[in-house]
Amino acid sequence: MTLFLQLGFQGVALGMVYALIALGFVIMTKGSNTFNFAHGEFVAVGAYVVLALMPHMPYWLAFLGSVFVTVSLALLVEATLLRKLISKGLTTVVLATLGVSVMVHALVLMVWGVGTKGSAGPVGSGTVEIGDVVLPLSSIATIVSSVLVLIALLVFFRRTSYGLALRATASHQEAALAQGIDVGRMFALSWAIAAALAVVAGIFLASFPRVVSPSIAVVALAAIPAIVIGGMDSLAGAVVGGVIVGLIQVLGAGYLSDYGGGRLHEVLPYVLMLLVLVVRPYGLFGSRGIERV
Amino acid sequence: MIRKLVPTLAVGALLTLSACGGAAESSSDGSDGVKMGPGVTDKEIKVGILSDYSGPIAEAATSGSLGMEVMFDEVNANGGVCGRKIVAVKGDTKYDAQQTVQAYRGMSNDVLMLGEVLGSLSINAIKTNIERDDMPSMAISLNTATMVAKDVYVPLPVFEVELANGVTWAAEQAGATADKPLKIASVTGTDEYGKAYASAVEAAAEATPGVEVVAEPTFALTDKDFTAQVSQLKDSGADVVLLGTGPAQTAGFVGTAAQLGYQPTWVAASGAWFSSLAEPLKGLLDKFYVSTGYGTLSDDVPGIAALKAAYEKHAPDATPSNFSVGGWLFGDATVAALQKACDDKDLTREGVTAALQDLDVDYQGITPAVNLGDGDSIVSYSSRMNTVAADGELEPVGDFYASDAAKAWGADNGF
Repeated sequence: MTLFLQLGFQGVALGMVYALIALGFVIMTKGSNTFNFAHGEFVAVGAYVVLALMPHMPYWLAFLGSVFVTVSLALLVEATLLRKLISKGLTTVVLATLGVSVMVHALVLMVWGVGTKGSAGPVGSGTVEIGDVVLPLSSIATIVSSVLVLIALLVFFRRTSYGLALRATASHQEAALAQGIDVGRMFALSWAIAAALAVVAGIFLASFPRVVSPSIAVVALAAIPAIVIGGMDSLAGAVVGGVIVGLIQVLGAGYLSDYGGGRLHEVLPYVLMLLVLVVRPYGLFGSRGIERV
Repeated sequence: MIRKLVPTLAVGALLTLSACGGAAESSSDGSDGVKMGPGVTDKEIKVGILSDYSGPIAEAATSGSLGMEVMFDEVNANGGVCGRKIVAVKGDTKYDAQQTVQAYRGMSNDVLMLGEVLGSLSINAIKTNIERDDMPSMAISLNTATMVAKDVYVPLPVFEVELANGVTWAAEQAGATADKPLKIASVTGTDEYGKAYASAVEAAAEATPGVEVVAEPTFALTDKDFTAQVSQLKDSGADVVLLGTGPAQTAGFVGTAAQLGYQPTWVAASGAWFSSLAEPLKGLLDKFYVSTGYGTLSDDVPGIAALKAAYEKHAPDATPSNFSVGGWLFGDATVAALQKACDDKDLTREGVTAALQDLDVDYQGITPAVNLGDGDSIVSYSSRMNTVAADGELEPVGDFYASDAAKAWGADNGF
C-alpha cells in the first residue's frame, strides 16, 4: 500500500505538469484555432530563463522575468506568424509552428549551449513524511502551485470580462466579432496565457531531482495523449488527461516493469489515447462537433 | 509526345546520376607514391566525424569532438601524416537515425574514414552503409554490440568492462565474503545496451565471491520520474548500485534516492557522469564513484599534459572536459591508423583497414596501451575508480586494473 501511495503521489505531481502543458495547448487551440507545435519549446525557454535569472534575484522575480520573456516570445510568434497565415488554412499554420519549434530550439542551443544545467524549481531536495510515505517538497510544490494556477484560470474565465470575451471567441469567432470583441487581441491573449502556463510547467518539469536540458521540449510532447484523452477543446479534460497520463507512467513503471521489456508504461498513454479516439473521438470531456449541412 | 519525353529524359538522367553518385572515387597515386583513396590528396586527408552537435547528448558529444579536432590540429602543426594535413569533416547527427544517414551520405564520398561515430543509435543507422562502402569507422559507442559490426572499431574499454570492474572493486572495498555478502543492484536502460550492461554486472557478481545481485530495475529513456525504480532498489536493500545510465538519469536516480532516504554506494560507468551534475547533486556525491576506462584531466601523465598544451594552442577559448579526453584518445587511435597506412604507402580505405589490424596504440599514459586485434574483440579490460570533486571533475582513487571477472565475462561472450 505504501508503494501505491508513494507512486500515486508522484504520478499526480507529474500529471499536474502534463496538465499545465496540455492546458496551454487547449487554450491556444480554442482561442486561436491553432495547434502550436512550438509550445514545448516555450516550456523549455521558461525553464532556462528562470535558471539564468535565479542567481541574480529572488526566485519570485526570476519567475516573473521568465514569464515576461516567454510571453513576449509567444506574442511575437503570434503577431508575426499566426496572424499572417491564419487565412491560409489550418495545415499551413500548424506546419509553420513546427518551423517555429525548430527555430526556437536552435535559439535555446545558441544561447545556453547543449548541456544539462541545474534544477529550476523553487524548492530543493527536502521531503515531508506522512507515515511511511515520503512526499518530496518539489512534488508538493508542483501540486499546490498547479492547483492555484488552475483556480486562477477558473476565476479568470468565469469572472472577468476578458475571460468571457476569450470564451466567446473560442465558441464562435464571427459572433464574438459581431459583439464588438477584438478577436485578434483574444488570439494574442490565448497565446500569452499558454506561454505563462508553459513557464510554470517548465520550472516544475525541471525541479529537483530533474535538471534543465534541451530535451525538456520533447518531454512536453508527452502531454499530447493528455489532450486527446481529455478532449481537445476541454480545459477540465486537459487537467484530467494530464493526471491520467502521469499516473499511468509512474504506476506503470512500478507495477508493470516486468512486462513488455520494461517499456509498457511508455506505451500505455498512447494505447489509451487510441482507445479514446476509437470509442469517443472528441475525448472524455470534449464536445461533439455538429455541422449544419 | 514531347510533354512525356522531357520528363522521361529528366527522370532517366536523375536515376543515372544517383546510381553513379553512390560510388566513392577510385584510388590514385600521390606524388610521393602513396596510394590515395577518397578524401586524400597530396595535401590533405579528410576524416569524418559524425556526432551530436545539437541534440540530446550534445554537451558531451561536442566536447568529445573538440578533443579529436584538437588532436588533429596538434598533429598538423607537427607536419601532419605523410606530409598531409588531417581535415575534420563534421556531420551533425542530432542523435537521430535519419539525420545520421543523411549526414553520412553527405560526406561518405569525401572522407577516407570516420574518426568518430557517436552513439549506438547512429552506428546502427549506418552500419549497412559502412559495410557497403568499406568505410573504416571508429565508434564512440563503448559497448560490445557495436564492436562486432564490420569495419567498426572501438579502441577503448567498453562500458561493460567499467561496470564489471566496478563490481569487483566494490566487493573488495566492502570486504565481501560468503559469510558477509555484499548486496548489489544494477540500473540499466530497457534497450539492448542496457541488457548487455546488466549481463556484465550479473556475470561479475557471479564470479566474485560474496556478491549477490538483489535488484535490476530498468528505465525507459523518456522516463521523467524514477520513484518506482528507486523504491525497488530501496526495498531490495542493495548496498551498492551500479549505474548504466546517462547523465540526466543519473541526476534523477541519485536525487530521488536522497529524497526517499536511500543512500547506497553508487558506482557509475563513465557515460553516466558529466561535470555539470555536480551543482544539482551537491552534497549527495560522498558515496558516488565513476569507473572509467581512461584517465582524467587531473592525471599527471604525458598524454594529459600534451592534451592541455594542445588546447591552449589550438582551442584557447574552450575548456576541456573528461569527454574531451575520450575524443583525444579516439583521435590518437585514428592518427595511429593513418600513420601506419601511410608507412605502408596505402592511404585507401583498404589500406586503413589493413593498418587497423593488430594496430598498437600508445595513449601516453592516459589509459594502458592497446592492440586493436581483429576489431571484434575488447581491446582492454582495464579501468579505474574515481570520486567526484566539488567542480564535478573526476579524481582517481586507485590505479588501472583489469579484473578476472571482466575478462571471464568477455571470454564467455566471445569478445
